[in-house]
Amino acid sequence: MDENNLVKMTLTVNGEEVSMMAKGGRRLLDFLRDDLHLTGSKEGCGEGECGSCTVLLDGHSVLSCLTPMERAIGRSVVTIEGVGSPTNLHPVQAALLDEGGVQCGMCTPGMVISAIDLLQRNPDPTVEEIIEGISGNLCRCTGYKKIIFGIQHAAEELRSSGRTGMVKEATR
Amino acid sequence: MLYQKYEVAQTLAEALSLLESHNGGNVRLVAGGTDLILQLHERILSAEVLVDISRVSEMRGIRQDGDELVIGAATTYAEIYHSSLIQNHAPLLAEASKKIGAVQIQNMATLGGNIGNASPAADAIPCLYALDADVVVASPNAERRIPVAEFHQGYRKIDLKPGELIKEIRFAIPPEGTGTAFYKYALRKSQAISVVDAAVCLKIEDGVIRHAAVALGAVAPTIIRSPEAEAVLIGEPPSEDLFARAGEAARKDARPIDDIRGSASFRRYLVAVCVSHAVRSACERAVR
Amino acid sequence: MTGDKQALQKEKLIVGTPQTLRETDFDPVGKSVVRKDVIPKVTGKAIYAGDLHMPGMLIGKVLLSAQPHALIKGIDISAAAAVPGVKAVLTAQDIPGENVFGIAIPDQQVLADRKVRFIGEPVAVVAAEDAFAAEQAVSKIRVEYEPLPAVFNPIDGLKPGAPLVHEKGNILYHTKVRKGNIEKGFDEASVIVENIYRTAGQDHAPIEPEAGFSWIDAEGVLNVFTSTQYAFRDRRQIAVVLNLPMNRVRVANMTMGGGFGRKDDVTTEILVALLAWKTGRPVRLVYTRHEAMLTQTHRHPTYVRVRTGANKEGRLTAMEGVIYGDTGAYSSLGIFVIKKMALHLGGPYYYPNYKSDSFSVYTNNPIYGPFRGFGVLQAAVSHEGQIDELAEKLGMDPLEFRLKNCLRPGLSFSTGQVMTEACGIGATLERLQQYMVENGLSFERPQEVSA
Repeated sequence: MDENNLVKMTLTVNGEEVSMMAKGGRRLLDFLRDDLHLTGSKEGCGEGECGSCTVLLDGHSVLSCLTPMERAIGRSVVTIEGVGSPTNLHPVQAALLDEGGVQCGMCTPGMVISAIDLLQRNPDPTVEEIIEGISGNLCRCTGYKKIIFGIQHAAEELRSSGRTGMVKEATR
Repeated sequence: MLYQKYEVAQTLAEALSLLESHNGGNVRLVAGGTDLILQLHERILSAEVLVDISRVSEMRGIRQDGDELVIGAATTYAEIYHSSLIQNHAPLLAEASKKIGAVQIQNMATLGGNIGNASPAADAIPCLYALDADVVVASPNAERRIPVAEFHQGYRKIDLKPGELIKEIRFAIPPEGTGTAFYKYALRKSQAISVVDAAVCLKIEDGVIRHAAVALGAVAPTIIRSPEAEAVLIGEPPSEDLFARAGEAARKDARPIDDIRGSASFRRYLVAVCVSHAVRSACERAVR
Repeated sequence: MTGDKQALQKEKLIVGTPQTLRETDFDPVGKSVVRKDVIPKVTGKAIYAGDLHMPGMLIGKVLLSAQPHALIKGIDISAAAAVPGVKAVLTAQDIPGENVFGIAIPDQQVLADRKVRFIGEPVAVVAAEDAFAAEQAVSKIRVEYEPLPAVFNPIDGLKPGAPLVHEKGNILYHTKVRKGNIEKGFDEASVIVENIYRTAGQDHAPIEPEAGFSWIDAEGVLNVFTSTQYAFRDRRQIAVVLNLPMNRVRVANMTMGGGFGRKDDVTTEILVALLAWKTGRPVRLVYTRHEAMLTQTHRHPTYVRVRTGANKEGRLTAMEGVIYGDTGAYSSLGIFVIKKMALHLGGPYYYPNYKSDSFSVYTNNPIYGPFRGFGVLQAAVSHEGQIDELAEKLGMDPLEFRLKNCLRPGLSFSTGQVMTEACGIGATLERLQQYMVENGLSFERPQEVSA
């Protein structure tokens, strides 16, 4: 263990300012899970294949298992914990729940973040575009169909209420 | 720890001086990090210092410089396929960018990283071979400009000296009448390394192909051009028969190996399929 | 109505106002029920074993065998133990109770003692203050191996003089299924098809790799919170290895990120319990994807030879088959998976005469165990191939041929059991036939696959 490589982590996480000393030289995923105890972001493969560690970095979906933690300094990170609360779900979360797009739940946080990333850019995606949008997220339980339906319905819900997929706006 | 120290460069000069100040130590540049962080995590590579070049303004974005297009080395694939300059002048590069990893990887990974990683199965590099692009390398005192095919010297071997970095990629804007296309075959549509890919850039004048560049990925220790396919195409009017013959000809230049993603013979078969598809799309775009 | 509103109403019904509850409120049939676990899962609040943490927690890491079959001549842990932050480096010698476990028969070592039988078998286990120290320590353990000849497929494993994976021999289990008179059945056949089929291994790849968390509570009870399909069986086996009475061990099943059969077995539970017991500290052990693929169970690869006969009228008369199932270095559920395959080798069809033999064979491959389908999937590859080929030889439509031979109530299965219900193949095929007629579809094998 090297006690010398402490870095000052100043960033915004789920809308709140974080400023703390932390051991550097790790992945953003480790910082989120071990230091901030935001364990909603999961490690399924640790090599950028499964997408269960997906978070938004300055609004874009990235894999936190391939992101050095220091890259997040001065930036904004949104994890699943910042998306919606049990009493105020994001339409993507509510639609996955309604459609039965959640089984073991291990891929769900990453899947929700990827769906939000997609709907922010493309409020009216075709099925093909939804498939492409979540192609970086593996699910071993559902067979994807119900996840795709869920995202379609979330898109409809957002459009009909005149909101965007942006986290703040969608859960307003 | 994956590394001991993380330095962030804001300008090219800063990046070069950080590289210089750690010269002799185990220092590596990080842009997207999608290859590097994984290789550090799996202990395939080691590093003491990482220099973050993802915010270096001179190395970001896509612009036109006279009759050339310039892509900063730290430009992400998402930025490339969203760029109207790329979509209009080099649609093959937009196509290839959409086929790299999946959305998250496209949001992170950079063109310069793909060049530096020098994988023979890289998806963007065949496009640069087909466009006859140059790599611009910067050092504290000078810049050099090297054709991309010369920059890649061998299997995962590039012409980059200590203290140097890949700054940008430049290529001539293809003239009127040019069509370009990229075609990839992999075991999945996303998140998959190419089994074979092909990039084509050709120009049609008076109904006849006057210029043809055909590049192949994942069939040799580096990306290669296919002189055989190019010779078949030049001087001929586009036809289904020609597309098939170009594909067959390209097989003569492929030197594939057996690996986990496909056998050498399967790859040789795929070369013809990928090349004829890419040539057909390029011809369609050229006459439009 | 969006899901959250529904869920809230449910919540209110059950928790808030008991006087309004009617008996029918507990009857979910015909209603859309919001699963209890879903809201925590979509909001990232569900706790999986790898999410647990406690002050003073250590991180566990396992050294896996690099050899498929070798004697262990010595293990030097001194350099590993000297890594700053390392609190325990344990080998087989440190096990307080019996160094053995197994879901069906106890034939597997917790930590390899004297001999390793596959690449990925745990040899030593480390607990350290952080993941980097644990990883460094594991890389510094020196194991001296004396390689032994190894066997990598069940057919080689049955040859005379084959290397023995276990002293008792390489056959784990032989299942025999006999029905009717097999010679008579083939005599009656006018068409006989014989083929060899091979299926490959497969990883379950649940998105959550195996994870366990263990600590000793204030009453001295050893707690293991884990990602498992069977907490009580884990508990019994932990108690034996740690030489503890059962009431000193508590196992709780955390939210599980996918199992598909592989978490039926003991995974991290005994190792993480051992580390917590030895260090007195909370310990978390989470496998990487790479470790999980090496050390956990997979789907059995199989080698099948099968002969099937039918008469001119298109009735199946007999089936005879032999199955070699690769169960890897330890049994796991290899007895039952390969046994089931012998029963199901003919598929959902009626054979008056049936004979099959299946051998579950030890090899130096990774362990093969339960995986949804449980041997029936591998059988499907061969019976569907046989049926198609027979139909072709008889000049019959493959669907017609299946309808003529499928199991129906009143007919008997390979074991002689007469079907009375739960035998929907006929109805399914009839629906398919109707659908194909309505849509003008027919079976045609594509001659060429376009790339």
